[in-house]
Amino acid sequence: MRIKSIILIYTLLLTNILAAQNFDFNNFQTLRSSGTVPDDFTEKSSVKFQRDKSEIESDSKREQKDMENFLLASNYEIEDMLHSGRIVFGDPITNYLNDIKSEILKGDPQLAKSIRIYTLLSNDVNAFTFDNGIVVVTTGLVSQVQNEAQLAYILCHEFVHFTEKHAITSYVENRRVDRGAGVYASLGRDEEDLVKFSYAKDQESEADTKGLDLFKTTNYSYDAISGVFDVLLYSYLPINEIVFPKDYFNEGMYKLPDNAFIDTINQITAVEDYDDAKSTHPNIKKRKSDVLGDIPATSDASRKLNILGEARFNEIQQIARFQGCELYLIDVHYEDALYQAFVLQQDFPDNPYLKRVIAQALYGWTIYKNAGTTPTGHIYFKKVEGESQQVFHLFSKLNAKEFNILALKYAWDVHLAEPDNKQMTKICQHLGKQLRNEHDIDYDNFFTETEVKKFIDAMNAKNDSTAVQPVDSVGKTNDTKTSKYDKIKKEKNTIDEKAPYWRFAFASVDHSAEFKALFEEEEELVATTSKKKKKSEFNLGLKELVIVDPVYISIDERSNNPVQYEAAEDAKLNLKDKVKASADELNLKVEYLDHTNIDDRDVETFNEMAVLSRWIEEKLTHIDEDIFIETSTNDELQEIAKSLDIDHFAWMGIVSFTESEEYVGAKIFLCLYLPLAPFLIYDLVTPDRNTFYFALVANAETGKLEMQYFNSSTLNDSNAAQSSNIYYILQQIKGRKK
Amino acid sequence: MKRIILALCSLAISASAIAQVPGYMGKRLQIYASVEPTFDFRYITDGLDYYLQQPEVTIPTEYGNYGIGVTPGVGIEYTLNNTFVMGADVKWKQAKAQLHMYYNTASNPDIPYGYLGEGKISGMLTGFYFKIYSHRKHGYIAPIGRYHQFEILTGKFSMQESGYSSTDFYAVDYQEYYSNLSLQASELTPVASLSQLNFDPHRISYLRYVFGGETVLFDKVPADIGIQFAMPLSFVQYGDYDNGIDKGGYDYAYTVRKSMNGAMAVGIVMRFGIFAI
Repeated sequence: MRIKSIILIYTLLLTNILAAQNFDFNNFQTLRSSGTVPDDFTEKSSVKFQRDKSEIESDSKREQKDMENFLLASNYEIEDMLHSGRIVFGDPITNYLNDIKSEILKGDPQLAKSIRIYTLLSNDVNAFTFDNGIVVVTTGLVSQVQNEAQLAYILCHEFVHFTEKHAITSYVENRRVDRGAGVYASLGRDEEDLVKFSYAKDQESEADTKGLDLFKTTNYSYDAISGVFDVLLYSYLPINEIVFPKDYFNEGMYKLPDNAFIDTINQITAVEDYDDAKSTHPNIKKRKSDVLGDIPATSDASRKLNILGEARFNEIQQIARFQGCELYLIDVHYEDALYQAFVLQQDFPDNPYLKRVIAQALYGWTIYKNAGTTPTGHIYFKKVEGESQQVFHLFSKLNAKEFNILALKYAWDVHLAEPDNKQMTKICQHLGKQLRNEHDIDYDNFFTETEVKKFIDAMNAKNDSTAVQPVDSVGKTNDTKTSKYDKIKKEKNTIDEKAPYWRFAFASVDHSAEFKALFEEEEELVATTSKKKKKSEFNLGLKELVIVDPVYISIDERSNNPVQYEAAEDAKLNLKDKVKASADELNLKVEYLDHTNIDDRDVETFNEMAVLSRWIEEKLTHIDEDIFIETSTNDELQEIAKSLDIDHFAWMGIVSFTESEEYVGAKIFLCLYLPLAPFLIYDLVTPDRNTFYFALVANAETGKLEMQYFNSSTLNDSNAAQSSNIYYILQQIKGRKK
Repeated sequence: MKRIILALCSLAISASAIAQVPGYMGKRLQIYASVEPTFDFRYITDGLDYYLQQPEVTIPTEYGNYGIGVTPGVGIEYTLNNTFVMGADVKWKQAKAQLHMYYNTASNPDIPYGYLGEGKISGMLTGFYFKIYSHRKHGYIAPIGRYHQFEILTGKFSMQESGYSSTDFYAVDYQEYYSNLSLQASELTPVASLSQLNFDPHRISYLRYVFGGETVLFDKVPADIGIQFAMPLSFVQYGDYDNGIDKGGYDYAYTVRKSMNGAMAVGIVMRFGIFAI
C-alpha cells in the first residue's frame, strides 16, 4: 500500500514536472482547445432554451414569462460568447481550473457534474457564472492571483451564484423593479437603479459568505482569502510593479532622450472603502470584513495554498501571463503588452516570444502614431498609475519619427535573431516603408559602424581644438566675442543636425542589401481598399473561398424582446442556403466554417474558427482607424489557410432592424391635409426598417482585407432582398477586373 | 421617337458593358404583365356643363365626374446595372367621355353629321422608360427595391359611342347651346355612331413618373407595385383643326385629350413577371 502511494505521488509529481518542462514558452502560441468538444459548444441554443424552459415553474404568469425571456436571451448570448474565439476548453488553464473544481466539490459529485468551467482569453480580472452552470474564468484573473487557494475561493464564490440561481432571480427582480411591482411602486429612475444595485450587492455578499462555507469544506488555506480581495482591488494594475529602466532600449550611442521618460510616476491610489452605492458589488472593505470575520480561528496548518502543487500553479500562471501579452496586442493595448513582456523578461530574459511581443507593440504603436491617431480605448499616460506609466509616457512623448526608428531598430534585432520568422520580416519591411514614406528617412541617414568611428574621432578632434582657444593680442580668447546663448544654440544645432541620437540606431548592425531594401520606395500598405470602393465593384476574381460563421441578427425594437433570437437562428440556416444557391449560379466554390457543423470530435475546426474570430476582431479594430497592421495572429491565419488549401476567407452577414414609428401624433395631424394623407397613412402602417449587409474577404497570404463591403437598405430583409445582396456580394468576389 | 429608341438602345449597350452584377441573381431580362388601376378625373364637357346649370333638367348621362379605369399592359425590361433598368411596354387604355355633341361638316358640308351623347375613348400606348434604384444611397440592387421610373408614352386615341346617345337632337333641350354656335340642330343629321363623323385618331404623348417598389416572389416571380403620375407633353390648338374638321373636330380632339389626361394623371401600377434570361 505504501509503495503504491509512493508510486502514485511520484507519478503525479513527475507529471507536473514534465508538464512544466513541456510547455514551450520560447514559441508561445495562443491557448488552443483540445479533447472532445463539450455539448455547450455544439448544441443549438433553441434546443437548450426549450429544455431550460420546461424546467422552470412559477405561480405568477408574468414571472414565468420573465424567466423565459431570461433563458431565451441568456442561452443565445452564452452561445455567442462560447463561439467568440475567446473561450477555450481542454487547455492547461481550463484543466487546472477543473482540477481545482474537483478538489472543492469532491464531496458533491452531482454539483461537480453540473458545473462546467471554461477559460476566457481576456486580460480583465474576472470570473462569472451563468444560470446553466457554465463558469468562466479569465486568463487575467489567473495572471493576477497569488496561489491556487485564491482561485479556489473565487470558484467557491461562483459556485454559490450557480446553486442559488442568482442570475435568473436577479433578472426577475430587476423586471419587477422596472414594472414597479409591489413594494417597488412609485420609485423614481434613480431609486430603481439603487434598488437593483442593492439587490446585486446582497447576492454578492451571499456568494462571499456561502462561498466561504464551501471553502471551509476544502483543504485550502484560509490565509489566501484576504489576498483575493487585494487582487480585486488592484486588478487594474499590471501583473507586477517593476521599474522600467530608462536605458532599456539604449545601445551604444543610441540613447533615448531623457524627456521621453517621466521623473516621478503616479502613485497607486486604490482604496478599499470606496462608494459602492452604484456598484453591483460591495466595496472591498465590506467584503473583507464580512468574510474574514467568518474565518474560523482554528489552526490552518493542515491547509495548503497549493494542493495541486506550487510548480503547477506557477506554470499555469506563466501561461496565463504569456497569453496576456498576446491579448494586449489583439486588443491594441500596446503599452500594456510591452510592459507585461518586460515584466515577464525578468523570469525569461532571453525569451524570443517576449521580444516578438515587444517588437509587435512598438510596431503597432508606430503605425498609429504615423497615422496621427490613437487606438480606440487608449489610456492617456497621465491617468496611468504605477511603474507602467513610464512605458505610457515613452509611447506618448517620443515623436513619430523617433518612435518609428525605435520600432524598426528593435524589430530588426529580433529579425536578425530569427531570420525565418515571416511575421517579423513583414513588420520590418512595413516599418522601413513607413520611415521612408512618412518621414523621408533612408538607410543612409543612419551611421554605419565606420561612420560612427569617424564621427567620434571628429568630435574628439573638435573637443581638442576647442580646448585650446586661440588668444588675441590683449590676451582674450576670440570665444568671448560670442555670447553664451549663441554658443548654446550653435552647439545644440551641431548635435541636432549632424548627429541626433537616432542616427546611431543601426550602428551595430550590418547595412546589408536586405537592410537597405527596407527603405525602397514602394506602394504603401493601406488598411484595405479605399473607402470610395465600399459600394463600388471589387472584382476579386476568386474561384473558391471559405465563409466563416455567417451572421444573422434581427432586432425588432417594437417588441418586448427586441432581439429575435429564435427567428435569427432559422434565418441563419436559410442564409446559408441562399449563399449556396448564388454560389452555384456563379460557379463559385464555397465552403463553410460554421459552428453548426461542428460535432464533438471536431476540436480542430473549433480551434481554427477561434483563430479566425480573433484575427478578424483585431483586424476590425485597426480598420476602424483605417490603418493596416501586420496583425499578431497572421501566422496562425496562414497556417489554417495552408491546412485548408485555401487563400481567402470571408465573413458575411445580415443585421436587420425594425424600429418604432416616430412622430405618430404629428403625422396623424398632418393627415388632415388630404393630399398628404395616403403617404402618411402608408408611412404610419409600415414600420421603419433598416437592413445592413456586410462582407469582409481576407487574403490569408497578405493579411489584407481585400474586400470590405457594407450596404444598408431601408427595405426589410425579405428573401428577395437577401438573395439580391448575397448574389451581388458573391459576384464581386467571383468577378474579374475588366 | 426613333432617336429616343436609338438613344435608349445605345445606353443599354454601353451600360451592360460596364455592368458587373445586373439583374436578380444574374437574371437580367424580364417579361411582365401589368394592371394599372387609374383614378379617372373626367372632363366636364360644355354640354354637360350646360345641363349642370339647369337644375330642373334631368341629366341624361351615365358617367359621373370620377371613375376608375383599368389599364392592362405587357412589357419587357432589362437590368443594366445596380442602379438602372430600361424597358418598353405597351398598354391598352380606355376612358369614358361625358355627354357632348360632335359634328363634322368637313366631310360633307351640305349634310353635316352630328353625334350627341357619351363616348368611350380607347387606344394603345407604347412606352419607353428607365428606372433608377437608389443603390448608392439606399442600397437597393436593381431590380429589387424602391425605384423612380421615368417614361415617355405615346399613342393614338379615338372615341366611339358608349353609354347615353341620342339621334333626336330635339329630345334634349340643347337650343341654348346651339345658339352659341353658328349651327342649328336642324342643320345636323344625327347619327348613332361616331365613326360616321370620320374623325382621325388623335395622338397624345405623356411623360410618366412612377414611384414603386419591386421584389421577387418565390425566387422566380418579379412583382411590383407603385403609384404613377403622368403629364401630357403637348396641348391641342384650336387652329390645328380650323381648316380641317372645323370647330366640331376641335371639340372632339379636345374631349379626347382632356379625358385621357384626366384618366392618366394618377394611378396605381401592379406588375407580375417572369425572368426570361
